[in-house]
Amino acid sequence: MSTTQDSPAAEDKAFPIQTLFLMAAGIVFNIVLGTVMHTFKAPIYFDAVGTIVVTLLCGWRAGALTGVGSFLVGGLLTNPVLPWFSATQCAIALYVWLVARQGWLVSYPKVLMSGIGLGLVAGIVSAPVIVYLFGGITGSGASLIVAFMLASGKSVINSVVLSGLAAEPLDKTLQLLLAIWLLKGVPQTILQKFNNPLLAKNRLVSADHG
Amino acid sequence: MAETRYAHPWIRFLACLAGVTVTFVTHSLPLLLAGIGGVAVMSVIGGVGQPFLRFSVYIVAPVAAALWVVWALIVGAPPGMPIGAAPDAGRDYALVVALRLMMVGGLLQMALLTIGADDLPATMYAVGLRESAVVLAMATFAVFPELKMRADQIVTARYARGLAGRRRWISGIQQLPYIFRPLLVWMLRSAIQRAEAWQQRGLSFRRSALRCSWPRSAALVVLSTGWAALAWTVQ
Repeated sequence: MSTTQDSPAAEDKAFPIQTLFLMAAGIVFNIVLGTVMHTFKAPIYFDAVGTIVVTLLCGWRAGALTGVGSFLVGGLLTNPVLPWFSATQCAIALYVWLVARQGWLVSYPKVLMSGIGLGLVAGIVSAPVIVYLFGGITGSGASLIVAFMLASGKSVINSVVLSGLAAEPLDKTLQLLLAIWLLKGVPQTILQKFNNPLLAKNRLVSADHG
Repeated sequence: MAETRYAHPWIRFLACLAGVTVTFVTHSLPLLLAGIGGVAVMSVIGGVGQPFLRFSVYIVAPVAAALWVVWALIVGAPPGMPIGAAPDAGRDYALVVALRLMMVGGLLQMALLTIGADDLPATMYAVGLRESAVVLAMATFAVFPELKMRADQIVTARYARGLAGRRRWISGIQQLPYIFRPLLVWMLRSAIQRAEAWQQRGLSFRRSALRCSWPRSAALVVLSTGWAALAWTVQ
């Protein structure tokens, strides 16, 4: 990196520089949390908390790129199959943005319901990748459900979709709850600098400053 | 002008795309095994042999075992056939899926991990990405060690104040919920501060041209075309 007097700062028409740095932090947050949970071999992934936070602070496009970026970088550092699930991260960002626009993240009960919906969306979007890349079996806990359904005569795609609908809501609900809980603990002076109306709509900042 | 020993980024990307396409189109076990052998050799030559080995052992091998258990033993047939009709075909299907997984992962590692850190900005510019993408990539790799350091600081502070009990691995895990919020606050604050510093100093990345190795680019084109032709012939 070098400083150049005659080149302007890297203000992009799509994203302000502050958003870019927040996206970078969100990418790292996703990777670190995902790696920690993977170590415990739990049926929860926690690899989209950064995506959700960035979406609520900077919009769904920034959130989607954060998610895609975290899977690209994660693919380089840990598991090169991760990038194939980038569409799931885009779907998560878009869904969170849509529910936040409706104010469905105002209270924890509403977050719970929104999380279940998020799990259903993620399960459906991930299913084709699991079927065609993994043959339906990823080696995770959900694969047991898939194996049971396959043995009972269901097709691969149906088995994967149903197992995803059974397993994903728990993971995504916990991730959404964690993201909201984290944001509620951030000082208002910091959240106000992001100036996103979604924050005020979901009472993450006081209405005077949202 | 940045010099590199590597193939042109676009040729690298297209070769990877061709390799992945052939991997998904073919059902031939010998062809996939040959492809993996080639990927393994090129990974070693490219200096990414260890990541490929780690990926194969820690990620593909457990998935392959699970696939074999499900398709060869439990279902006893590949998709589309009655349960128990053809255990050998189920085993072959499991093997094809595992080998495809290994190929796809290996190709991606070869395409991306062989890019040196110094060449990354020039490579990203060469494929047409904007400066914002370069900033994002560089900032991501810069934040990693800082995030780890900040997490260590938080945990150490909690131990020092007697909030975490004795320093053991289990108490370290118990500290995780107390790390997340301060980490997020630090993330947001540092993003704001970096952005202000960037704007005040008028920083940007030097846009340098990438000088590629055309013999290696040509070799990559020949290899990927040859393998695609072989796959077409075998099919």
